[in-house]
Amino acid sequence: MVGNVGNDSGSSTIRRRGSGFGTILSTFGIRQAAATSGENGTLSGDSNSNGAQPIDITRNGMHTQMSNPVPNSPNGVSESAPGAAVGGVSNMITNNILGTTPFDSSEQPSQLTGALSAPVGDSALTGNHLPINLVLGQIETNGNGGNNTNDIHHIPLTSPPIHGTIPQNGQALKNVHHFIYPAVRPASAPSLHLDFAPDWAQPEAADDETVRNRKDKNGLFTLRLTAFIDNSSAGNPGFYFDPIIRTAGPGSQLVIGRYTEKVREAISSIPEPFHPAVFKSKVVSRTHGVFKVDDNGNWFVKDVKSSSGTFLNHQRLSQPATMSKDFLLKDGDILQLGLDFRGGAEEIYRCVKMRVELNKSWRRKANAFNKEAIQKMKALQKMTSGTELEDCSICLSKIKACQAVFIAPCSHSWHFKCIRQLVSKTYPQFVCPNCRAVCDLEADLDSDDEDEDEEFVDEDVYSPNETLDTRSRLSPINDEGTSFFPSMNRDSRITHPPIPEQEDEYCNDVDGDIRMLN
Amino acid sequence: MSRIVKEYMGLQKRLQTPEFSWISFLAPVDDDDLSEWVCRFQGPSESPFEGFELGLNITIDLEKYPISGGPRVLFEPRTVAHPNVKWDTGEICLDLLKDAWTPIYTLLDVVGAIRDLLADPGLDSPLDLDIAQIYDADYEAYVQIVRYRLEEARLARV
Amino acid sequence: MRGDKETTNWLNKSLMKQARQKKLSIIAVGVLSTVAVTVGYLLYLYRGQRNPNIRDVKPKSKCYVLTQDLFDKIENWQEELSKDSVMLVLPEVAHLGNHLKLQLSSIEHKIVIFNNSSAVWSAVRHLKKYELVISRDKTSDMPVDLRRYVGQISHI
Repeated sequence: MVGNVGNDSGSSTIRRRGSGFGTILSTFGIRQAAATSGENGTLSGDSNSNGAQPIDITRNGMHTQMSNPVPNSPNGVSESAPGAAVGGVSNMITNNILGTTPFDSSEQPSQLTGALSAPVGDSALTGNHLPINLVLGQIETNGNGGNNTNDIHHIPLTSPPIHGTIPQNGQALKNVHHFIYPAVRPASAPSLHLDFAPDWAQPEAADDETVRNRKDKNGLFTLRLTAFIDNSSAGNPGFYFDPIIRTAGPGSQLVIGRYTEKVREAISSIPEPFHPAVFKSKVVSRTHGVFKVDDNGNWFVKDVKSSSGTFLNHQRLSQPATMSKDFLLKDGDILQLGLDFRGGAEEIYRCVKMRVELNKSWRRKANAFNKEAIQKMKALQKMTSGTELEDCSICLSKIKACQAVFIAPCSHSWHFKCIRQLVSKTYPQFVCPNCRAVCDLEADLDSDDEDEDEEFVDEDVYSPNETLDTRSRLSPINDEGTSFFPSMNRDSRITHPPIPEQEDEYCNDVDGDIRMLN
Repeated sequence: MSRIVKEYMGLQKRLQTPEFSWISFLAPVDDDDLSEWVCRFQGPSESPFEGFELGLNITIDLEKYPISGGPRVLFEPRTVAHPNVKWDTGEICLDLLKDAWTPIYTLLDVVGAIRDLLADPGLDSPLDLDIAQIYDADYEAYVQIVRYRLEEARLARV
Repeated sequence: MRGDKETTNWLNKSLMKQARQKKLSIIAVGVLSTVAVTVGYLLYLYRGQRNPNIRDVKPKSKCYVLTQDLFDKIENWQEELSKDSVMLVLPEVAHLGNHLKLQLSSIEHKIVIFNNSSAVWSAVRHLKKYELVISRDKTSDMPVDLRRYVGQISHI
């Protein structure tokens, strides 16, 4: 039913609110897929359903209960009313340069797997939320008013706008799909279209075992982006962002772009691992690029006509406002979005540089080293004090491999995350919360004195029942003979309020794995 | 699992031990909301509070606990006469609850410290100057005043 | 007949007069209301000072400061101390206090025997009972600020 207005009221709503509304939508216009006519409107599990329903993202961020099919709601396309979700983006996109969108063909996509109104932040991250399809559009103003339909044809290279979201007042959409499939791609969803870049690495064949290893426990592939900060460089240090971790099933496509209010609304109900990769930098285009992942867990990046360019390991992917090919990513690649504007004096004008890590490689690498490190720590603790390596007395959880640990000179240890606030509060002094020993974290670390080792006291191994405060350790003496750790000399008893004993009852290790998405 | 949940889980066991037999109970008001707790415990021996049961109301800021802040603890208002307790509100002046708080303290530690405070007031920072003066000048009268208040509170609960 | 000019003048003047009157009345109202509010506030403060703790007002709580004099004057201590009351026994009549403690064993917690007289006044301050019952001869010993901590002082 291409071109047929499934809901006249919908489009007319848009038309009516055209001028004010359309102009307001100057950035990411989150449009839902257009409504199709009635037979495609239902969401329930019959063959007629449109399956992977796009989220009905309205400007108010209101969402429908996907589990209650609302066939062909007249408000399906309007921006402000919640209305029913609509399906059938499919038929609208005919020449889609971006590669296959989930509903490109006239096939019926498979049905929705679950309600999209599942709570955000559901740590189970099952397929309940998936598949997700957002259409992130970018209005390109043509300046002149006039009939909308005409202007569609003026837009080169982009797919025609989805029916129903007909732009008004000479504005057109450059639509970029952000779709996340679950672990098992809907059967009818077409396979990902990849346009390999010549003179670039091609994906290698991978056996089932390898592919399985790449997936996480939910069967999804993961991608981690960490800000590439260079404090040493003469220019600006770079654009900082908290590490981004995203998961997606095979065949998915993640949008890379700029963070705007509309994006925020659109993604507010989706769990974070399925969000697009958006950054608060003005040199990043609203629709800048996409990540794609194929069935084997190979990740690709593509520039979707960004204005300031995308660089993979310092190599530009395409000319400005030009679609690029799909470039295979490898673990550890450096990806840069845009170029510094005005030298990047302000953070919002900085290009975004990031390190790309694929399929949880950051976790696997850690294991070998850290398991040993923890074992050594435990052995050391036992040797010197006769007690087991204790749990972090702050969060009461075990100190395990792959965790960042802070060990004080008094040998008490905690997760860095738990102790950090205490450390920064009184830096450079540090008062051990367990034994109240004071130490200077800025103390000189060098010592030329080769006899230093002899000055360490042979500590008596004390029984586990003894309270922690009675331990003390001689501090290294520098050349002037003054102690760096004034309160930690051999003879002092450190006074403090009663210290609780740490007992094992707290150590019920229900947690298991490190939270990947932390 | 958050720290307060871990504490709650460990508490059941610890409260059974003889070390904490003086705590009648220490539990959240509502299992679903770990920000409000209530405690009733026996007053310390060798103090005017001996033989009486005291009530505490504990509020925890779940965002901050335990790293950025400790629990907010108040006696049941108008039950405890003590140099470091404000009579009308039950507010307690204890360093552990203020600047001496570190994240390794637990609710049990806090209740224990409060119990110790009952037996050993700190006269350098009194919240109730009059009671502090009585404690200082006439300990036996202090004992009687404290007990008067506790008796009255006990009778009121009945 | 007045000329136009005169008429305008006269009109202007009367308008101005009206305006002025209006202004004056507004000012008057303003002044009056300010005065009223101030007076009311002062009254409230004054009353508040007299009764620092409305809480203790309810069934008039009492604080007795025991002296020989007071002891003699009251017939039935059991009844006196039955409601919300407390008895502070001055050091000089500690023996009377002990006697009463034995006699009124069910309410003996309400009797507090002091060794130090200054502590007695601190106790009065702490207890903040509504009515302080004290014999006349002891009023001179009372600290001046005590009045702020009780609602009413009854001299027996």
